[in-house]
Amino acid sequence: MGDKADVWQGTLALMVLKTLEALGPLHGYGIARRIEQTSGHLLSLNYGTLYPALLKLEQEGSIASEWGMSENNRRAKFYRLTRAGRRQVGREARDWEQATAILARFLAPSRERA
Amino acid sequence: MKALRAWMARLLGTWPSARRERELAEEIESHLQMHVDDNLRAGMPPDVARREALVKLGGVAATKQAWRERAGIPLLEHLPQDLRFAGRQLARNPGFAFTAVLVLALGTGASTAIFAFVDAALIRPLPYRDPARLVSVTESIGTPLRRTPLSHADYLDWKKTNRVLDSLDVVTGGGYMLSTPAGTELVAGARVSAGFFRTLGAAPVLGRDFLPGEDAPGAPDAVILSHSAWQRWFGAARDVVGRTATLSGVPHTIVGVLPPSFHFAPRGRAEFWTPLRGTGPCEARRSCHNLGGVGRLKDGISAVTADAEMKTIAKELERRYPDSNRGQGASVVALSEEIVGEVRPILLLLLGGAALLLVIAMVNVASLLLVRSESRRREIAVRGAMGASRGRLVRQFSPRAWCWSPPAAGWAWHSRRGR
Repeated sequence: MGDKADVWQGTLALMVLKTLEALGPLHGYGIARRIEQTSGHLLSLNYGTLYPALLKLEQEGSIASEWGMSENNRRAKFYRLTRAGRRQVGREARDWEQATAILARFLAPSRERA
Repeated sequence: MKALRAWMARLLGTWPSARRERELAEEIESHLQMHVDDNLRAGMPPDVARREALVKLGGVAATKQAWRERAGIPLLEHLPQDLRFAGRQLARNPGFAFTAVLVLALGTGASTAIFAFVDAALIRPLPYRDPARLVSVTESIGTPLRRTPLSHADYLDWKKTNRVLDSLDVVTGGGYMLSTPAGTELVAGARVSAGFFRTLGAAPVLGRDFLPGEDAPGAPDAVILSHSAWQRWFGAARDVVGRTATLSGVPHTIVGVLPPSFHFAPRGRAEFWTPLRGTGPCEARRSCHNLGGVGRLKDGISAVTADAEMKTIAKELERRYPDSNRGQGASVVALSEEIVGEVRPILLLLLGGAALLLVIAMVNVASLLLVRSESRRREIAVRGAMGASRGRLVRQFSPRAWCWSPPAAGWAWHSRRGR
């Protein structure tokens, strides 16, 4: 794990991919809103940070973009998962679940004692 | 694989593209519009709606800049601009720049000079053929072991009996009175067994080496000149081979001249190399020790093995000649060890000192820069407010420091050239 910035970037990427997996193609604003929502509004993210993250995912080939029409008939750039992205999301989700399970074992005993 | 793909994309992205900029602006604006729509629907007044959307975005300029940095390779893109900026800074503060360059040049120059010295002395192999196979062969005495010179008779016995060395030769010092047109001059010389230069792997550049047997008692007196002797006393004459040099009243035929690159550190100053006869007052007595031994190990034999073997031979001689050889052992170590061993700790200390000097120079320059940057805080704050990321600011101001290194290095290199 890198420093805080790396961790944040990594988790944001996974959140974006998961959102696209669940909801299908979506524009940047929609993704940001949905991420906030999914986190139960515990996460308050700066929407601007999403766009470099989206670009990075697009450069890596995990997502692809194209212009389309939003619900309000506004022109917006939509992002969707690629096949590689779909594979990546499964892999990374498993890695994270494993990491949190291991960490939980460290945290659980202290809670039991308390 | 992903990373490679991303880097390729970024490389292509260093090309400026109006279309990309337009699309970015459109995407950000459409994002804001959608957010404002939601805010209006939630009941916010229009100006609050717009402001809230902007704040939640984190600033249009900052977002665009962060996106642009991801889109290309900012280092490459901004390098010309940053270098120009650094150049202007340098021009405005020449005194400061000069001081920094001076400090760095001193630090770099001193460290490189010392390192070059250490490299030549310790790291480079000895200037002989296959120097790793060369060993210094001496007698020894006492505990702890002290290395002592060989005696001639022992040398002959060792040479005859051992099975670990391809060749064993000896060298000892000597001075001569050289007869010159201007009178006699004291010169440094050395006496060697016939195969000495062959063992080292050095060959004369004019004339020939000593022939095997040229060190026998009745052989004609011959001498091989060092390169500097040839230049100094014989005017670098090409016909010097065959001429005579009178050393301490005895005429010696000059048979060869050594190459300029040859040197044997223990006899560094020797100019006249003559064959060692076994007939000198010291050589005639087994108990008189005045020779240094140089040997070439056989293939597959290590110095340790050779050492053990010579110790065995020495023990046998001790048994056979109890009067002269009592307590005389043997010692075989790598020739490089013998030549540089003593001076190694000092040189390493010097090297450590040089490294420390370099660190101090760098710290000095760093603190100079730090003081300077204090006065630039306002400028940095303004740049940050206008959307410069931290990375951008670092890239902006660091070329100024890097700019000093080439002149400093150049200065240091130039001063060493004079050496």
